[in-house]
Amino acid sequence: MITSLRTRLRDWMSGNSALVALLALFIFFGITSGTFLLPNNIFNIFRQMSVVAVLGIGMTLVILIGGIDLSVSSALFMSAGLSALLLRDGTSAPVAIGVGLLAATMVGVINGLLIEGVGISPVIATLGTLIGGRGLALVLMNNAQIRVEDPFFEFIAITRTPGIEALNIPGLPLIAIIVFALYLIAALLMRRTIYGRMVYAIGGNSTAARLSGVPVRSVKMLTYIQCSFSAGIAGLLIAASTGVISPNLGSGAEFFTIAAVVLGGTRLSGGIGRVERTLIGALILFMTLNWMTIRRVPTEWQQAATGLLVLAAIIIDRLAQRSREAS
Amino acid sequence: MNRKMSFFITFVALAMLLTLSIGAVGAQDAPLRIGLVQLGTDNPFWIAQVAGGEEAARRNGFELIVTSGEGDVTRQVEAFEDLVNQGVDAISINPLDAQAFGPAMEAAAAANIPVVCLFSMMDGCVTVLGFEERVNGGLVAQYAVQLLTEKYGEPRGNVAILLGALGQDINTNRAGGFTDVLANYPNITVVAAESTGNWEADRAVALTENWLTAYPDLDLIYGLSDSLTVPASDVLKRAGREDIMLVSYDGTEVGLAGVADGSLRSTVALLPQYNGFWNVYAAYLVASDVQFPATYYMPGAMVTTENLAGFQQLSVDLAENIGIFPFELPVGNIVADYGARYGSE
Repeated sequence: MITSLRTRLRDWMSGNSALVALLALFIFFGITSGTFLLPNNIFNIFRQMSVVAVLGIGMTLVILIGGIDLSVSSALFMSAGLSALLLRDGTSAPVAIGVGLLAATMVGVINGLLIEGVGISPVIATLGTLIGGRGLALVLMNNAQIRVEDPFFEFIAITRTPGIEALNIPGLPLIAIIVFALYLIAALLMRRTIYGRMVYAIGGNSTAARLSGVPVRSVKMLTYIQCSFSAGIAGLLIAASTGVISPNLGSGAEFFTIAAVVLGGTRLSGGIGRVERTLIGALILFMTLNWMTIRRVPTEWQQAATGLLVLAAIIIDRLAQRSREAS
Repeated sequence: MNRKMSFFITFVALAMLLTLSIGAVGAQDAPLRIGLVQLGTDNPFWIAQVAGGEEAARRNGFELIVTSGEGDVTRQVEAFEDLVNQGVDAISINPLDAQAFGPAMEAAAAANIPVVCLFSMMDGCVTVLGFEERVNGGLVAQYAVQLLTEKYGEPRGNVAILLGALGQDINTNRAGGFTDVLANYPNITVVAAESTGNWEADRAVALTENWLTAYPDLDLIYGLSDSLTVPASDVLKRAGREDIMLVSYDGTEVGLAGVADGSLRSTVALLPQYNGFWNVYAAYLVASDVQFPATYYMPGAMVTTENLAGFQQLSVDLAENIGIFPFELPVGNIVADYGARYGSE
């Protein structure tokens, strides 16, 4: 009895190592800091992880099909920069945001054509669009900073649900609700639609998938396009929360995004992983960053610790994989 | 204020050189030709630098040849080599990548063409010009001390610093100059100094939020760039913590707008026309066989709520009346003079 319970627990833990790590860190951070568990702080973490979390939706799917997208921060910048530029010049909000999202999505179209049409490796192709995409947006913006003062972005940035004043609990930020809603949609997409099943089929064995009639190229291209589209949404969120578009806004976000995907347990080799677990990965990252600031960890150590965290995730994931194969 | 004094002496020396150089020009038959190699041409900062350089040429009667690498180091090396082949009398260059100029610098040396370098040292540079980032950080600290003294009646309080990318000189100097000065005030504590990664606005927002949790009694935040402090000012506004003062750096349009609406207390403007004037003027002096210091770092203009109106007039004059702008004076004196004449509105 006890043995079987223990085995079952071990199986569950190795299958949900990301969730176990999240809970362990949550308890540790809560014990070691007086302010970490305050509702306002938890809500701050939700908001702080939003950009990486939304980028992580598209990135997870791309990694599941065995690819990688290094250009997400440029697609993000396209949408943030162009919509801010158009809004500043008096375009109406729906048009400006529509153009921004479309421009971001075009980055994915180009990625898809380069990778699946021309046959360039995903790393090289998306490295190219990473550099080129930001460059193009900067030309259009004339390299200047743009202040975002539109009521729509203001609304995204400041809106919260009603809080409970008696218990000193503030409202949940709208940005956090948007993130959770997007993850719900993505999780349903992956479980309930043919597209989701095709993604896993391609990631598991691309040749077998093609032989059984999966339109591999189209699905892969669609996956790169949705990745840039979700980066476009992340661009709107970063524009709202920072309020100013600087030439380097969001640069380097691809590193945190891939880290969140890996921390969530998705294999970089493709085929294995769950999109909703990337949310857990993002939470682990931003909880840790938040705790390090609250606990006054020197900034140099924070940088080192973030890198070590990602390395640890990869090693733990690898070990769990090996022990499962052994048993 | 030893450093301030040494600046002043440098300026007096340079002013004397100016007088000497008029004689040097008189001795020439044809006007000297000075080449300027820019990073690119599409950035407002670079355009303003060239405007200052052209004014230096107009005032001193030499010919200025403006070229650029358009953001590409190979093209920049080609532009540099073209100038060497044309046999110009001196070259002023802001190298995209100092490592790439080895052979080009040797060609210039072989042709006996002196090279003045901007921002980065290369083997063979006669002089290096740049901004006095560390001194500017100190100016920000002095203003922060003034703000805290106004708040408490004595210099005390809790300060946090939004850093840029760790390891970059610009980060080390802007922050180091600030903390050096604050070290003289035992009751002012720097409670936190954290990196925003690669000058990431999103990290600046997160850090500011986290600091509000960790240090509820924070008095002032210094951000090393307007691209960090402007987002931080939005966080303070949303949290209803506008009692926390923000001092900034860069003097960009959004930063100056922040000083104007009070969300930032100050920023440091780098005056690209002034820098551009001296970049080219230094090359001209060197070509005229006038001794020029091995390094020449220019301070920035401290723009505060009090002198904003004066600074705005100064910016207008730089754009519209550049022909009579007193480039030969130290920046601090010019800014103080404008502040006194135009005051705050």
